[in-house]
Amino acid sequence: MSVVRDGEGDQATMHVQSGVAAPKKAKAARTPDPTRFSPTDLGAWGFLLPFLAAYALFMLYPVGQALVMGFFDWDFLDITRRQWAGWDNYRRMFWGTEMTWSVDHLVVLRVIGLALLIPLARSWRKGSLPRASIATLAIMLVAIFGVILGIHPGEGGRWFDSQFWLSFGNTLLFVAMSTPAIVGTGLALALALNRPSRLTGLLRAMFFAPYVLSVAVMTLIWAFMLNPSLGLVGLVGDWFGATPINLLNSSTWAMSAIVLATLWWTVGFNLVLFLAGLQDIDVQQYEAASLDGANAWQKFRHVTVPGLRRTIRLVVVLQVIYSFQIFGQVFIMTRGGPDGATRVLIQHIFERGFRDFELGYASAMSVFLFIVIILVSVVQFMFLGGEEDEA
Amino acid sequence: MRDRRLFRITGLLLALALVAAACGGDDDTPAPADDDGSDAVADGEDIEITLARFFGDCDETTEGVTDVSEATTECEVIQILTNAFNEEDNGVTVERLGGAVWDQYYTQLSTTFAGGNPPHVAVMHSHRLPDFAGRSLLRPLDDDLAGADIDFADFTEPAQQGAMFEGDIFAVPFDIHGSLWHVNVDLFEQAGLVDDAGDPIMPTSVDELLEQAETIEAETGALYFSQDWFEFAVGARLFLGLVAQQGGDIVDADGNATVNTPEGQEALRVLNELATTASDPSQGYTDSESAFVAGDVAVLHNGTWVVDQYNRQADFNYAALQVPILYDQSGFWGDAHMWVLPDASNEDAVERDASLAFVAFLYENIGSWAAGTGHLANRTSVLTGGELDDAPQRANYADAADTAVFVPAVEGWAGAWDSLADELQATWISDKDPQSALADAEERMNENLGTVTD
Repeated sequence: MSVVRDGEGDQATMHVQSGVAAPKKAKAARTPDPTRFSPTDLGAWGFLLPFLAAYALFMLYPVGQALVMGFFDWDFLDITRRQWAGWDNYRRMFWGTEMTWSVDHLVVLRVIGLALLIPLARSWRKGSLPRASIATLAIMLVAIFGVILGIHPGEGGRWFDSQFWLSFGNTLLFVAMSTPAIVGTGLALALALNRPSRLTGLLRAMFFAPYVLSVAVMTLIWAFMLNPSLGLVGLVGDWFGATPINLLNSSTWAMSAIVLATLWWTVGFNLVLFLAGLQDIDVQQYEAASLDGANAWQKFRHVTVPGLRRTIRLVVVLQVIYSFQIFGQVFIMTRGGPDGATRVLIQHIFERGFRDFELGYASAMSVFLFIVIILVSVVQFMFLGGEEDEA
Repeated sequence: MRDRRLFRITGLLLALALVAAACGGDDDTPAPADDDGSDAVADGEDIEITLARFFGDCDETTEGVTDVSEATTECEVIQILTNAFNEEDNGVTVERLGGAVWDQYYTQLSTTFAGGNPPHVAVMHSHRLPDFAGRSLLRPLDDDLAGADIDFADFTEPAQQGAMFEGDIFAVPFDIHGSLWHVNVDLFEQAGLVDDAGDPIMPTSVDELLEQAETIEAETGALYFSQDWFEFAVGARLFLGLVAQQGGDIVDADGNATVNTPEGQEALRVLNELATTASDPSQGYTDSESAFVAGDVAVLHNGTWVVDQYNRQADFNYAALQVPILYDQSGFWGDAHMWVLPDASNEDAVERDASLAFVAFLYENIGSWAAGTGHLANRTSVLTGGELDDAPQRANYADAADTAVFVPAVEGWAGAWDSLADELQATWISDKDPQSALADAEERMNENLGTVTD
């Protein structure tokens, strides 16, 4: 990110200098020939290449390999068992026996999904977003919530891999629970700590501190905190006369406990991003708003939020991506239990790949998760703060 | 202007550094370490073999120690035995690979196989053997054992079965471990549930078990029974034992899971009776242990590996007993720790002999392992040789080495076992209907075992 910014800055400087020294060249400089190699490019590539090499080796190559392996019955350890499987792995993921479609399957979820068409229709009328984007999303919503989610195994049938759907559903639940909680808390803390004083400096450091812990340490702390007989949560419950319950052993509460632990662990990162964003907002805007008689809420609504729009988008997109990839805390704290309540997709992928040695099937599921994350990120980029960028 | 030049130069330097690093790697690569073996022999130095094991890390407390009687934990016994072997003048040095936690051990071990560089010797549970032996990753030992002075016929029947796959021997068993009833004798005495000799009376039927639970609770106020109800597959272990006691099995001859049977339904009924009337199903592994050691629980269902620990920690009169026989025959969950030789790293005869020498040394010390850990010795000569007479509690459950019920030797068992444990837990954690839990368990297990057909 910073490299690109430096590059842009560098070019901007060059324009100005060229403009003063040689007006004729200025025109050429304003529309540089993209095919021509310039010494500045050399510097830029020098910075980019090491990153790109690592990126290609550790990110692009594995993604490509996962795509290929997803079409094989690929045993982790026995090369003689590897054979072409076509779409079998995907069929095993998405299909079952006695499959049927009914209008009332997962009806609440589907109605909520389809209800998203209403704000879309409003945007369409107002013309606040590109209509092509709206149409694309509308088609996706209808396809997913209107049609696809109505498919299920009928009487006497079953999914080929029921655990896939369970763990994917839990992953979505975790994303839905953790994203607003962690982003919202990060923003609230940033607003509270966005003032220069020694105490806020200390508090910032304290809130950020858990982020540097490894997942193993963080889960150890929380397993202890949540222990009904030894931990803080049990103690506090005791004060209020409540019978301490083991949150991690309750299929109702386990996921919330994981979200809470994750919030404590990662909110510091969002806090720092939001603080940086807040410092980019010109103080004069707040002064102007005060002169206009704006109260604190109005200043937040009309100065802070628009000023933070890009930061919010960045934080939300990153948070959603991180949340989709949840694994470590669940695997250590609950192992996916109790009763599958916290079993998430990466755990399922991990177990299929490394416990059952079914690397082909695990790859296919990874590819599915990869596509879901990309789609969700693209939709977020299209709709979060899109208006500002168009301007 | 100066900034721009600096930017370009730095960028160029970075790129050059990357190229240099890439090229340098090739030039500096030393000869592969694996080749050292034969050279070392020529030089009269020790051959180094690698060992992969769990049981934990305890280098600090065992450094330089070679007297196994000083050991107090599994880790210390195996590490001191390794030290003792390295100390001997046998021309072999054993180097342990990293990774010590048992439940992540197989992931680490698998990656060494996938990377083509497995250890020379590895510890393996009996239930995991089919996954590795079935993929031709382990060396069959049928022809090697006699040369290494290992008498396979001396092992007990369950131990032999656990080390074999499709008719071949793939491992040298080190122990049998399994379920035990850890008993607070004081509480039994308080409730009048002891015989004339003062030993706790074990129930002989499910009704007696539940009556005992009522009596203990009424007379002492303590919880009758505890176990880890949800962290590890402890409930599934008791389930397996209770099914076996009724003469049932959880996998049929064709390798299909068969848990939704009358025996399975009965076993799950008993587990749920215990959970709701005589136990606290919110207890996990650590909670149940602390409750037992604190004297709040009369019976704890856990394994052989904690006998010496409880013996030290308990302030009350403690007894480690076999799982009571509630039906027609004896039956309790068992497994084995065994030593295997990965094929890929034992092709060289010199290295293979070194590996076998180490395994033979461990075989000779099975008695020390059993005495120091609480696990059952698996060799008839050790069991009858008097070596374990002084070890606490062992006499109470020594017969178990002949009667342990191992999980079936089929590929994909780890996943099937997890599925079974999941579904059983759902009945006492989320009140899932036992009938559908068993039906779902069977379906999921068969999917794990690869016996589902579309």
